[in-house]
Amino acid sequence: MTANVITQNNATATDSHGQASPFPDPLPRIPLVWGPDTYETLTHQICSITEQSPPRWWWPAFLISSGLLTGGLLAATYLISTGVGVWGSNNPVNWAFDITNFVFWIGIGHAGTLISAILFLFRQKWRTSINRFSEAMTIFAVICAAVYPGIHVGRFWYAWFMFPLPNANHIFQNFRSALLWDLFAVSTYFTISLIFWYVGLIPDLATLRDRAKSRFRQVLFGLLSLGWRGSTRHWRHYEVAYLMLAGLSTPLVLSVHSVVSFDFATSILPGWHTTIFPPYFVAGAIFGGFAMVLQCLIPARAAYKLHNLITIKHIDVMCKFLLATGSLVGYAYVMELFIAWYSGNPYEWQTFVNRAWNGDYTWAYWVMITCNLFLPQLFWIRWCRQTPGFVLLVVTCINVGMWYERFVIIVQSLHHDFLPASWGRYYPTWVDWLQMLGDFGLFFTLTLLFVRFLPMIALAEVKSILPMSQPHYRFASAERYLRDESGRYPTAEHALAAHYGPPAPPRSTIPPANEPVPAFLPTPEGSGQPWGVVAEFANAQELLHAAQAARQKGYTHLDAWTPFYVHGMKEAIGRQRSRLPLFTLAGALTGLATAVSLQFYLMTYYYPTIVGGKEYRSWEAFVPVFFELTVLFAGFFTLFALIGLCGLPRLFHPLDAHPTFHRVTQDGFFLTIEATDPIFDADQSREFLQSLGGHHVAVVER
Amino acid sequence: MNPANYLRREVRTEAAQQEFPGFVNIYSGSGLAEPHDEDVSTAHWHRRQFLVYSLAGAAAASLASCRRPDQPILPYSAVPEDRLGHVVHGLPTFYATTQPRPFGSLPLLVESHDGRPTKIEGHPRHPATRGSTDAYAQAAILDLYSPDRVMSPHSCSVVERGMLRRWEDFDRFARSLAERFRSIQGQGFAVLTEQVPSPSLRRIRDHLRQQWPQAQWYTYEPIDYAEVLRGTELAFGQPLLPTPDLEKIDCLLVLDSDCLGIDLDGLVQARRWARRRQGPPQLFNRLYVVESTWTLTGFMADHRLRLPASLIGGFLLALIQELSTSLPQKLPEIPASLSASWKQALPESARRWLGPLARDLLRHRGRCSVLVGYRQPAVVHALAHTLNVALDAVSHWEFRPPPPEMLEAGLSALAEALQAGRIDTLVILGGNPVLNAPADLQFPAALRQAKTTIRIGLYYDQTSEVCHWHLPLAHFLEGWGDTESSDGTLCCIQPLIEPLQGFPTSPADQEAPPRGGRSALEILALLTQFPHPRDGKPVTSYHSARTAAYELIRMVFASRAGLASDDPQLPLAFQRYKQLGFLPPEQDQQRRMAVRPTLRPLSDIQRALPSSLPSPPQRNALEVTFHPDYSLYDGRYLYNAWLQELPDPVTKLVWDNAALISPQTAQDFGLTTGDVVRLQHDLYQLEIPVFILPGQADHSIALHLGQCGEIRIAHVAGGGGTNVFPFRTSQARYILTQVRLEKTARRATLVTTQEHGVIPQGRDIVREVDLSKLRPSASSAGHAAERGDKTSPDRNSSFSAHHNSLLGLPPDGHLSEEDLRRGYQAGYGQVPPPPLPARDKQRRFPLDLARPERLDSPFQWGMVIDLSVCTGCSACILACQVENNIPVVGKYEVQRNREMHWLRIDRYFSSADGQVADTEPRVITQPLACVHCEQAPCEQVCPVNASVHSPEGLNLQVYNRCIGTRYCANACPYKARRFNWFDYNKRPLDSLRTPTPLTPEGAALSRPLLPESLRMLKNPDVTVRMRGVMEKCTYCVQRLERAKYGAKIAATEVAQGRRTIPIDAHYRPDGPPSAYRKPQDPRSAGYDLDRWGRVIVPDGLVRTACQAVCPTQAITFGNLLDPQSAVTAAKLRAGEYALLGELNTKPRTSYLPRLRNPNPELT
Repeated sequence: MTANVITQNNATATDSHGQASPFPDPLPRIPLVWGPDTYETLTHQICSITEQSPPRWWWPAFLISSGLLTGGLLAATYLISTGVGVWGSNNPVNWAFDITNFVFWIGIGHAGTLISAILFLFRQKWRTSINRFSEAMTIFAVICAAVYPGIHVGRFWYAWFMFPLPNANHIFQNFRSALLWDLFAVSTYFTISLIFWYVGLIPDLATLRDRAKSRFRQVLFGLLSLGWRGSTRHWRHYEVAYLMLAGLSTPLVLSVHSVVSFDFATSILPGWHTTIFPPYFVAGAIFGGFAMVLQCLIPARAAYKLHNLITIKHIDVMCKFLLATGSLVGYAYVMELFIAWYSGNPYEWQTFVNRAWNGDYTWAYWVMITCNLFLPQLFWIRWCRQTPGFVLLVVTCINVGMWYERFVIIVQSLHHDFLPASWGRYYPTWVDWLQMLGDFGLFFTLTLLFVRFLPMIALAEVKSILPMSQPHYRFASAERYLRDESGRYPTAEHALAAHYGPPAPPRSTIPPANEPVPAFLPTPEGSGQPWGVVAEFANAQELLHAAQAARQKGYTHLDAWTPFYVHGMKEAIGRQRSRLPLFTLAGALTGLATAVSLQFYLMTYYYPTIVGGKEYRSWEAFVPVFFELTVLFAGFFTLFALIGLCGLPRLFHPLDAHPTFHRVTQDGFFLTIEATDPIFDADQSREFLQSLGGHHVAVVER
Repeated sequence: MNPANYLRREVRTEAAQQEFPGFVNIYSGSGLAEPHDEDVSTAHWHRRQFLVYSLAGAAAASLASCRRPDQPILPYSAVPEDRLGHVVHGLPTFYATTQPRPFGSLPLLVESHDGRPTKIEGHPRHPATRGSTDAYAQAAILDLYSPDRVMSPHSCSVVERGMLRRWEDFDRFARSLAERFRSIQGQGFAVLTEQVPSPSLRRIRDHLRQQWPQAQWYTYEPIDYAEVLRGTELAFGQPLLPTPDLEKIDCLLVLDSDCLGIDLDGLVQARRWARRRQGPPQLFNRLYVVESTWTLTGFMADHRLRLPASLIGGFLLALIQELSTSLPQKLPEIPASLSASWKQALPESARRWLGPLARDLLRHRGRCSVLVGYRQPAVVHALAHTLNVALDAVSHWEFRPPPPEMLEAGLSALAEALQAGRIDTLVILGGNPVLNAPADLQFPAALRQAKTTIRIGLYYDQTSEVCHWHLPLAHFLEGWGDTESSDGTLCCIQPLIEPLQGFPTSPADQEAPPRGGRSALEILALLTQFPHPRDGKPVTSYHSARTAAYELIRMVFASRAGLASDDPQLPLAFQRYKQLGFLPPEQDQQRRMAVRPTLRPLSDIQRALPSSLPSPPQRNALEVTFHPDYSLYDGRYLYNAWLQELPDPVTKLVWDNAALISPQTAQDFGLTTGDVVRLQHDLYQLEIPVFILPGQADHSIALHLGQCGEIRIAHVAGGGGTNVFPFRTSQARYILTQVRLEKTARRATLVTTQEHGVIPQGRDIVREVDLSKLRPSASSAGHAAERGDKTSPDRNSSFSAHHNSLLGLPPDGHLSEEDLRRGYQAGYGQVPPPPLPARDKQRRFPLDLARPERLDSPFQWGMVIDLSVCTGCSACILACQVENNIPVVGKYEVQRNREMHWLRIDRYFSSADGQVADTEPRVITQPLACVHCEQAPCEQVCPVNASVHSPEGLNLQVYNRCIGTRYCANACPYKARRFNWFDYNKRPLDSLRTPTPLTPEGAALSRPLLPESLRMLKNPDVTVRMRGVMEKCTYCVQRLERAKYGAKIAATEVAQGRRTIPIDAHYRPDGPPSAYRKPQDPRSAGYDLDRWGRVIVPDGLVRTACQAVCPTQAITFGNLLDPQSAVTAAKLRAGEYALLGELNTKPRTSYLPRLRNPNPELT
């Protein structure tokens, strides 16, 4: 039936091309979530995935991926016990699969933060359906990458020499090394991404806690969610913290692959020593990251029937990203070739001739070009973008191509450098292959565990973009939905969205409580004094009006409790913008000061060494670590400021005694007036809230 | 010149020219310490006792052996006063000794650390070799400690028919043998030895002949000079060994000879030849080489003609005919039939050579020569001699009677006698005839005809397996002996260590019979009941054999020195002989004096000429030539893993040999490198992989001798090559014609350390300069002025190498040499460094932004490598390997490009247009180790500061800081860094990997460690690296450091007038209380001081291992801040360039270009 709609309307659209459109301008907006979903159905759809036993395909998939992971672990054990020689790396090609995999996975890790942070800053609300998933992938990909700096070194047990820790030799790091920048960049990126992901998860963990039936899940998610209850006083810090983290992550996304590219760009090897590398690597990383997100998302969407949330439109937009970044990467390929020729540098030119025409690894180059430059061009065609199966095929090729890109850059450049006498070829061994497959095992194992145990869609964020949460949304009738009078859809997308049915209007009634709500709610070990009065409202608009009314009445100790941040609510309860950015700034300055003093102290005073004929205090090479530590400290300060300003963790709260308050993290909207309010009076305040239309109104014992 | 400098020059001269290499002179009082009298009977114990003690620690179990005096072990602190001058704990001692070699032994200095010989150097004072050694000598130290010799019960025990025996068993057997043969006058007794000259052995032989007149004595070498001797006999009427003096020859035509490589006296000749190439360009000599395959001599040629070996005689005939018009009366007449046949046989390229070559020879008449290699038949030698006489060149030649060993009956006679049953008991001393005898002699079968065969050998090899008795031979560093170098100088073989006894590997092993070798003299003295020189009684016990051998050497010395055995001067003179290691030729009373032969009538030679020349080799009748291997020679170094892994200078093959064919031949037969082919000739056939080598003569196949088809080194898998001896017959020992080739379906894995031979377009890597283009008449001078070159006036401006004459990178795009040179921070002494504040006023934190960090030591080390004289002989690779404890890694690891050599020699083919290896390529070799960049790309990438720079300009690798990211190796544009992919220094090569089901080589679950004897081999001054650590050339930093301390101590002592007091007195616990006093003024002793008052090491005192070994002195090393040092002079020579200098890495090692002196008529 879907197909019918598409073909019909395609035809219509083609016919009407260039003629006066019968549709209003602007066209009716397509909602981001398709179908008549409510807060409750959405919560159930996502949370039940983690609450029910896994589907039948999950176990075989898990066994395969954990089997691969075990292979990777065995390979790593063998490597560490015997020596790096078990790999095929050799003298001209000192880095091969190891750093290829490392850069590949670091690149994969870029999409998550890009979707979370940059699209957040650009107010791209469609990102909410996929940001959780891609952020998780970021974490897992960086874990896969972080394996390598550890195990690829010759003496694994001394890998801690990379960290600025005091030691018996009194020698510290060389902060001029791109590899050390890399370490700082990757670990900062991992930390900030983890913080970002976790902060985003807190409201959803609270949802899981409140839905939990078993004591174990209640305790587990209770601890993980730090006692989040959707208080608007928390939301106002939370929203700013999220913005701060997004702001920190954005340059970080751009920096981390730039720094990884410095590993190559700052050396003098032909094929590595290229100024185009930082933007080229970042574009490539976004390209590969989006491909990997689609690679995982399309099967998950099909398996868990998330078509309403992750719509064809999402896939379509992401394919456009692929097209754009793929073309950027292709531009870089061409530009590298051009510059190699234009520079007249015989080494550079020979490397590229060898790469593209007559070398040992020319096949790898053309695999790369085909997968990364030619194939994505198919996405100019709408059908290619909107057919999930086909997209899956293409993104698989892109992932292969992006792996080969790193292989070509690393192995091909290394195997033929300056002196022909030292040229040599590289042949991977079984350990190389096992290690590489092990990474995929690790990645997919973590991904499978993630979809099994954590909400893979950012619920609180998706709820906030439902049409019903928009106060000014015009709900059309079912038959007119996205259509004109003659029954035609303006575009194919409209037809597709309409196929899922019109969105549900906001709820006007409140479901009854399972047990009657008494006027006074005692709490365990209560003090006998009231904590405050609480009332439930049907939807966000009613809550907002109630809060405004209460504020007009003169109440000041108000709080609104919502499943997502309701726009305008913090003003409604009399609060202002959070001061949290000050903490972020303090963190940034602390980080910068730390980086400056650490590097200058160690490199110029404590144990200065002559390195590459450079001056001890030449500061240029210290800049990457300045930046990374600045961001790292700012991120930590933001996290701790959020927790501290919200007074979290707060595992128990008097409101927990209210029989319907658990809905607050799913679909409930509550307003409270606290007993500390100067004009609080238990009976009057209760009646006041009832008069505003509140239900299940009760005074809660402190 | 100020007096301080004058004195300093004195010190330097003494240090650099007269003394031992490196630093030893500082410690040992220049080797001129007063010899003291000694009791003759204990002489050889006297200073070796310490060695005995130290060894006893390692092999305490063998102390019970009857041959060891039962003496207590003494700790070092109680070293007796009188031995103080000899062994200082922690400091090396040098002893003079000689490596016995066929046709001419090699005088050596051996470095010993606490009783362990660890490094071999050439003897700098020997008149012929002057401190050169080759790869074979460098690697000999591994044979001493080889686990296959020392740890294997078979190799180091007496074996009778596969059973382990005691030496006493053999002694008893030898006595009964002597009894038996005495009665029959030695009927049926025969000895087969190598052709190593040994005056003492000659005494035993003379005694044998006298005592047992019926006994026979044979000598044999797989590669010998029989044709050379026959050639001189034909020309001059007597067998003589001809040696040219290449220093005096301006124009040399070499025919099928590796005279600058491993042919007779190659070390000496290379040095002499190179001296002409290092001087001013007017003195340059010219070298023409005609050969069938590449040799080191061919590498160095100004003109090289590839010609099948069988046509080389024809080429010479053609040349003679070409010259006969100019020199009519003195040359043999060529029959018309013959001259017609060469016109057909010689290829066009050869014919084109004749005219220009003949004219060039005539132009250099009296200063030119023709030299023919031993592979060519006698008549070619005779022709060359007549030509040399005709060209007035014979005065540059020295003709000596060959050592008597070369004139004994050979292997064919022995095989014949064996087959006829005339030999009852055969003693085989050294050699390996079962492996390397010509195939048609059927030697193994013949050997079975003898009733008793006794093999005396270093290893339990193929011959030992066939013989009834195997007697372990002492290594030359383990037993006394004497020998002669190629110029006939008497040399002393002086042991440095008691024969190694093998290490008990298990408690049960302690019960095994005592092992260890005996010297050849000891064994033969006992076998032949040689009369003891002291009392004349026949030697019947080992104890008396031992003293007899030593006395014999003394006796030989006495007679050579012209001293009576009771001469009171003898003990002192003998002591001096041992110290010096040889008897100076002018003191030798019985030296083989050079003779001045006269030509016999030419008719003899004319009669010996063949009736027609062989037809050139064809597709269906190929030619095969046999060559000694650059690594294994004739197979005598088969057990040496270092040599097995030494890349062949030509092919860069390791652990293998191959049939070398030209690209044209390969095309004819559709072959690629690695294809196994079947060669057939008469009854013999051989299957061997081919290796395509540009520059090989077409349809001529070169086979390298030496490999035996399997690896017989314990714990080594892979390699072993092909045994080509079965394809060699006594009729065609060097050149075989009419060979058919067939391709088989099999392929073999041939592993090289360098896969690519051609430098791609536009790379300025090796520079070649054509000398003729640098003459003042050439345009380069004008070009130089045009470019505004401000070359200093002391540089020969006409010789100022300009890029226009260089091949490779066009000059204008990049930095000039001057730019590069100015860029050195240390600056070659151009910019005097600003004075530093006093030490206590210096601040550690240089906040002064105007003052960059500098390399501020008074020593700024640097190196120059002269490509003009680098022959590519690879001795430096091995010297570096020995000095720096570099492991071998095995064939499989080399296949994965993981060889560990810190120094490699890159071999590039070039041609007239400089880019592609066409049909007539040239070769340049370029030694390359870490070049110690001042702006090192490796340093800035190391995240853990393991790669840093020293203030002396050394690029240091801090092993214990290195975690093994390998980023530095990627960043290094020279790829000079080596990574320990496995525990090469801890695990045997066959168990580098932890066993897994997937690795076939991992069988055992135990973790075997390297044999103990190999740990004795290590240089204690150099860290042994573990796995996961990067390593590379250090400029032999251990030698630099020792030289600095040594100079300081020496300066102190000279200043205080205490030079004669042994250094180590200072270190004794009971020594003088204030042992080291600061000198009043070392400047008074001729030493310069740096800004902080530290003593500066005089130039020439410190030599890196590669520099010390180089036969042609291609490597110069020293302090760049010393304006008078040799390295500064070399850096200022024209054309000096930095490899990859355009990368601005500012390397401290730079190169002088390969200068060629081509004949303008031929270019």
